[in-house]
Amino acid sequence: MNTTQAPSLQIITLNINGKSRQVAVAPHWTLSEVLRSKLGLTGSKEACGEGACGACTVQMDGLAVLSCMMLAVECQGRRIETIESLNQSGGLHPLQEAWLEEYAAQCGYCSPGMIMSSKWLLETNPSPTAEDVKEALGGNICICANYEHIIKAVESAAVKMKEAKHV
Amino acid sequence: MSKVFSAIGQRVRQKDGLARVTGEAKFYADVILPGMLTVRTLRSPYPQARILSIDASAAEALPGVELVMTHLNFPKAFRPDVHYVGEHVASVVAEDASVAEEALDLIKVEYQELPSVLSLEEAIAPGAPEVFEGEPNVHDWAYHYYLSERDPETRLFQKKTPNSFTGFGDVEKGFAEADVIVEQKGYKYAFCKSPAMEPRGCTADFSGGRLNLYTHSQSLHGEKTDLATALGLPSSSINYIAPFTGASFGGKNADVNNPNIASHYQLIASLASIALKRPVHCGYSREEEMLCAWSRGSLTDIKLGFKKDGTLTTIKMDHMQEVGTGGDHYPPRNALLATGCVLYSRNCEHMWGYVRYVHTNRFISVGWQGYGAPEGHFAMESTMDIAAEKLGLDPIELRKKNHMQTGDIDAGWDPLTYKSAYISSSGISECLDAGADFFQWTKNWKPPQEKTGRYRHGLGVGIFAMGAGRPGKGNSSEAIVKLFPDGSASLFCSIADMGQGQHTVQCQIVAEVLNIPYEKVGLVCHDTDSTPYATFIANSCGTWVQGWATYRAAMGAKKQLLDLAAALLNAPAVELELADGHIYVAKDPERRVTVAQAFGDRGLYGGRYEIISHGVHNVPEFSLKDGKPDQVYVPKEKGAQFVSLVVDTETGLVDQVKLAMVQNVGKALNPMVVHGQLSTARHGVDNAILANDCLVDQATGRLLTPNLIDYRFSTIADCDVEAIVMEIPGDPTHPFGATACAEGGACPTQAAFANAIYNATGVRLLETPFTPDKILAGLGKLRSKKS
Repeated sequence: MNTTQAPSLQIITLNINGKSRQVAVAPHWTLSEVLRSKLGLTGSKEACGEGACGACTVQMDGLAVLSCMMLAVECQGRRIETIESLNQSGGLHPLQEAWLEEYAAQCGYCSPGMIMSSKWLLETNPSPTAEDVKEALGGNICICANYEHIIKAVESAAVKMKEAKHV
Repeated sequence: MSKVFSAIGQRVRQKDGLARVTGEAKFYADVILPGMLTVRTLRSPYPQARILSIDASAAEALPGVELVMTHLNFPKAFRPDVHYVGEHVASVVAEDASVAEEALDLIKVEYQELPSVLSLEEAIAPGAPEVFEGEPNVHDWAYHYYLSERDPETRLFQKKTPNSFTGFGDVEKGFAEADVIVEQKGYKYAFCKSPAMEPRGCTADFSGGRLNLYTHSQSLHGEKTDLATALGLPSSSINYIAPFTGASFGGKNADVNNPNIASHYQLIASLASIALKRPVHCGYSREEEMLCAWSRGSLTDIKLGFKKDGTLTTIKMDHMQEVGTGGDHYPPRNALLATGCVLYSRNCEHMWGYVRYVHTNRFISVGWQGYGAPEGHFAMESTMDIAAEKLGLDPIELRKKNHMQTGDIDAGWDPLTYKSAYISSSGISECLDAGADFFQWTKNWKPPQEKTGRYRHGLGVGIFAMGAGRPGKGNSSEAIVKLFPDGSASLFCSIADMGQGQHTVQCQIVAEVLNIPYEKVGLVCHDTDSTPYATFIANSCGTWVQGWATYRAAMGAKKQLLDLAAALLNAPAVELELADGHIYVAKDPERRVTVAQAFGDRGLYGGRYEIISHGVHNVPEFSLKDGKPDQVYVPKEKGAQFVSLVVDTETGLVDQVKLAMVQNVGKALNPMVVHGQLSTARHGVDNAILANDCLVDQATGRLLTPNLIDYRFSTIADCDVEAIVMEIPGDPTHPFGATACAEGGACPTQAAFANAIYNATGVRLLETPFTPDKILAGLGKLRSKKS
């Protein structure tokens, strides 16, 4: 059917949320597009498509990255974690619990990206100050402007994650 | 007042929050259907042009292209003329986006360019080119009226006459009798983009003779009805599905029958899906999103007349509102909320308000968060500070002397269905006190003459009154509550939740009435097939208009249950209580049955499996004073906003911004929801100091800020917002004394900023955004663009 696209597709293997996934991609397809349209992982949102809002944030080899700014073909051999990985084993991640407790989602469109950026922050800095949180989340826009709740959620998740480590 | 609530006022979790934080929430763009086609749209490069010809044959021949849509084959969805850069000219429906984009390049369009107007000032100039041929660019608001025959006792006006301006009394007489007159012309609020994280769009799936439309929504049933009308389909053949809306703030309002409202994606996708019998996805990119739903954009002159002691008796406001190529022409009147019509109705005897809307070739407009009210408040609340200085009064004291109080008159901000009404609650003075305490106003507010040094601190204030639900007939909402033998309940309710928390608070109302844990209330809200009508989410009406419907449905379910138990307990239903899964006789709690027992026997073939109750709220029932049909209570959003900032007088930069948003909500149904709503005051911060403006290239009409980098919304680091929630009980319009809380946050921000910048520097800014160049020009350190 589609003669313009078919010849350029290539099969790549992506390591996503601990599993190896094979997918046929065109070289210009972004990671966010492949995650959402080809792998059914629609938790990562795309709100700007040019790295300006953070809604598509995932972790790659532990780092928070913008999946709309990565080409899928570049991501082979990298360890990719999306929002869907957080409650894979059943329970919610402390950040998700804190998000609910502190009412950190209003419309919720920014939440998956915001939570992934926060997860990276807490993995690298388990005791962030409010200023640290602001710096780490400076690239994630919440147009509902719910930032006070978001800061509280990250701080409270940090406390719970530290407590859990010490138990 | 001392009633103990079980669910109301509690910090319960967002009802549909789990899906939002796990990424499982299916926004429309997350619905990816087998065989789904994708739309890409060719948009006009000219701000005003006639399409002479379109040749789509090469695009149609491209493999993978299923359909090319233009005004020639789909006149319902496309126009033969275009009125702004970015207006849709043709759409390609293809197997994927790459093919569709390739096909766009193959469409040949011949345009005849026409003269355009790219600013409000150009549009109102004599002899300006017409945005719509044969129609003037400037229109008077259609509903101006004059109020008279005031009842000396109630102070209500008894006569309403269509008029060339809105008002009462005689402003010329008022100014003649005034001791102090303050006049300021030329307040200009920039044309600004409505905020929303999720760009608009939809997926249409016509199959089995029915159209399923997946989208976001502010009014599922209303928007569905519009779509059915446009497509010529019976309402019964459309299911409008919008379980999640990635914010809207009013700007994503859809009405496909109005080509000047930005919901063309629905017609494009629906018509294509019907034609092709395949699912069609039409989602806007951020750039396409930036081409629609602008608002603000106003020019306001104001003149105030005071007595020596600061009593504000006379108000004259001349307000023009830019509406681009379209939008809703009714709400610009919201500007009058800031005047003697509402906010300053206490002492105002003479009111003259003139509202006009102005078409330009700058994109499609729509109302968002206050539409008109922030613009009117900018002019009014800036001028109140100018007046305070002239009168030698503290800005807070001047406002306290004049702002509306509980029971004062709403002199018809919405005059379609009533003449004037009672304001159901105020609390503005208490809000002023709370904000003043927060910033230690008495200690920290000093006049600008006392400020020295490069970095100067400023404090500013503004108060507000915003509509909170439409008060007249024709506004209604419905709910269905189902109660089950296990004691759980479901609320069927289509009230849109765009992040403002309606899904949560409506379920709290059900839990409260049925006295069951909030967690036991389920919500069915996602589509029109499974829910009754709910009012259009605009004008902050959900808590009030829907709140009563939900309350009534829950009360009806409770009554049915008690009636069932009454028969078993051999006691009148009115003597029964419902708690902890039991119904018992209040005076003899040992006489009790479980909820399940009250339902009676159930078997494979029948029995009572659910109680169903339908609740309707037709405004203005429940809001009449002593049941009198001509004496209506109207709720308002109301409060105060304070801004603290530091101006660098060498660079003109504004820094260390802290904003306190104080609002009396009567009763916070959920404190976290309310707190979050007050935080949306940041949208005013965006408009004030993040350079928000609709910048177009004057030669081509192209938008120069079509992305989130060149047009900025606040990040977490731009400022701090302190939300101060006031709960003053007693508002008579709501079952729990709650009043709305949503749009108010946007209303006083520009004035509070302008007043704080003046307080820091002595520079009075009349035009938003408050960019460094304007501040430096005011300080005499940079030549003004205008001079």
